Amino acid sequence: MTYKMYIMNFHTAHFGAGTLDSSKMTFAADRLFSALAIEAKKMGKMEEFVSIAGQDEFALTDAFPYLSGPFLPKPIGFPKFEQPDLTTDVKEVRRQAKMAKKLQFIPLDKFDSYVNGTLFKDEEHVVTNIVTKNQPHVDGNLFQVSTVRFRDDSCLYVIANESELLNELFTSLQYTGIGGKRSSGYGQFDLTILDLPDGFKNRLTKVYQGPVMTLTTALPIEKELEYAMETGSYLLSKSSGFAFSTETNENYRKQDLYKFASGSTFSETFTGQIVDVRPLDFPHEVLNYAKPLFFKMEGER
Amino acid sequence: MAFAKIQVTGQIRLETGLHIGTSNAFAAIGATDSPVIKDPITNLPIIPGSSIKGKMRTLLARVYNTTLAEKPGDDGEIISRLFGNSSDKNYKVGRLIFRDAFLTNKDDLDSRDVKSYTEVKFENTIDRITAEANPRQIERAIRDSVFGFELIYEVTDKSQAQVEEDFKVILDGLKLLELDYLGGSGSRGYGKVVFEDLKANTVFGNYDVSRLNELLTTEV
Repeated sequence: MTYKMYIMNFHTAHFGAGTLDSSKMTFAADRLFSALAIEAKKMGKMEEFVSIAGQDEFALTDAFPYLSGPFLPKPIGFPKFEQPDLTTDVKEVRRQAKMAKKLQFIPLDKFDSYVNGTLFKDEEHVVTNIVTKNQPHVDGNLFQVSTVRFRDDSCLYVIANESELLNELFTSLQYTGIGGKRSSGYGQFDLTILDLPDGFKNRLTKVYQGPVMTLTTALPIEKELEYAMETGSYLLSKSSGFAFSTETNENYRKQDLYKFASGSTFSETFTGQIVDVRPLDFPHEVLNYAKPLFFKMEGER
Repeated sequence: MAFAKIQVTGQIRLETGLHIGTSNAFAAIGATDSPVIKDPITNLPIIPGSSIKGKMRTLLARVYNTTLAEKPGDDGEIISRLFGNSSDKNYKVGRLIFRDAFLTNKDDLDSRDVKSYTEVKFENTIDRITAEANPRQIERAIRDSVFGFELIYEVTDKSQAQVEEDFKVILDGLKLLELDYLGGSGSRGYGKVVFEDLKANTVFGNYDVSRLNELLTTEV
């Protein structure tokens, strides 16, 4: 079982944040999982893919930026308040707090120094742009699409267990694209598969008793949930929308699912699950991937 | 299992200036009344994939629809299966994927001492009674610009027998685009485009494209 870094070099993409006229810079693992599943379905390998994904070792993370090195999400709840940057100047402390709030992603090599209280500015990976489109000669058919245009050397990456099927699906997905408005050219990418740097690989874990940060938007199983919520610092992220299906003529909404956003920190790992969020009386299952891969907050000494 | 992706690549050359408008807020504030859409990072003009897709679909709908379709949802089977139809469960996603076309011959234009990649065209309207002129400015991507064109066609079990039929439709679409215009103000001479060097290429899976390439070279 080897973790690999799948680097996706996007040009323009639309990763909706609930609406068509908003776009995030990255996407969560469930979006990728669903894209891969639909791709597998077209190849007739759906069952094989779902059984691989059901295995305990299978891991998939959210997408994070890659700019001459991998980035990680900001650990929620860090740095701790017992290590304030400057206790003297209140103005400066406020300014730093604002900066820390705006920070989204941290380069891997600066991760430990951030946890210990060093602050720095966020790197600019993308330009967000809103384009207006229409359908001519029809009244009221004006709509806006928000797009993210990646800078030339910025990419996104996800971590996954390498397998032959996954590589095949990823290769195929390059040309289908991921995200919204795919058929008008958003979301296609070029794929590179890289080994993980050692310092990174050693800190990835699925079972560990100690402070960890999740790299996937994940949801623990029922009996782990209470403990995770008690000891963790987390953000909730909503995942919902229409279920895509070629077996119903109408479009039905999926059941709303709330998950812990990537970057949430916990005192120990949990297992997570793949949730079936199918609408009532739906002909097939609608899977929402919510199994975490963790990053140890303390490096090996 | 027949699953393959065929990529059609080519070039779009502008024979006349092209104007694909955008919302005023982002591109070149204060420069012209109606700016053209540009790439936010390089600031070069682009042709959005949605413009090509929409124009091609409307043109093809006139040829391949047996009845008049009032909305895209009423399109016939041939159009729906290529471009998608959200109200038909079999074709919620179409077989075609378009891509934004980016300016590829920037260096060539530079070597010809082009000052800017867009021009500002001055026009006016003349009132029929007072004969008063009412001028306007329109920005256009300059002619002889070349954009990279790319199209992905997906072959699945269902579409396997229809690939050549579909490609004839795509070719007709491209031909119609050459005889029509892309972008705005086409009846005033804007937006004449020519497709060059069209080539089909299987990028995923196995599909023999030699027949398709014959089609592409002979007909366009």
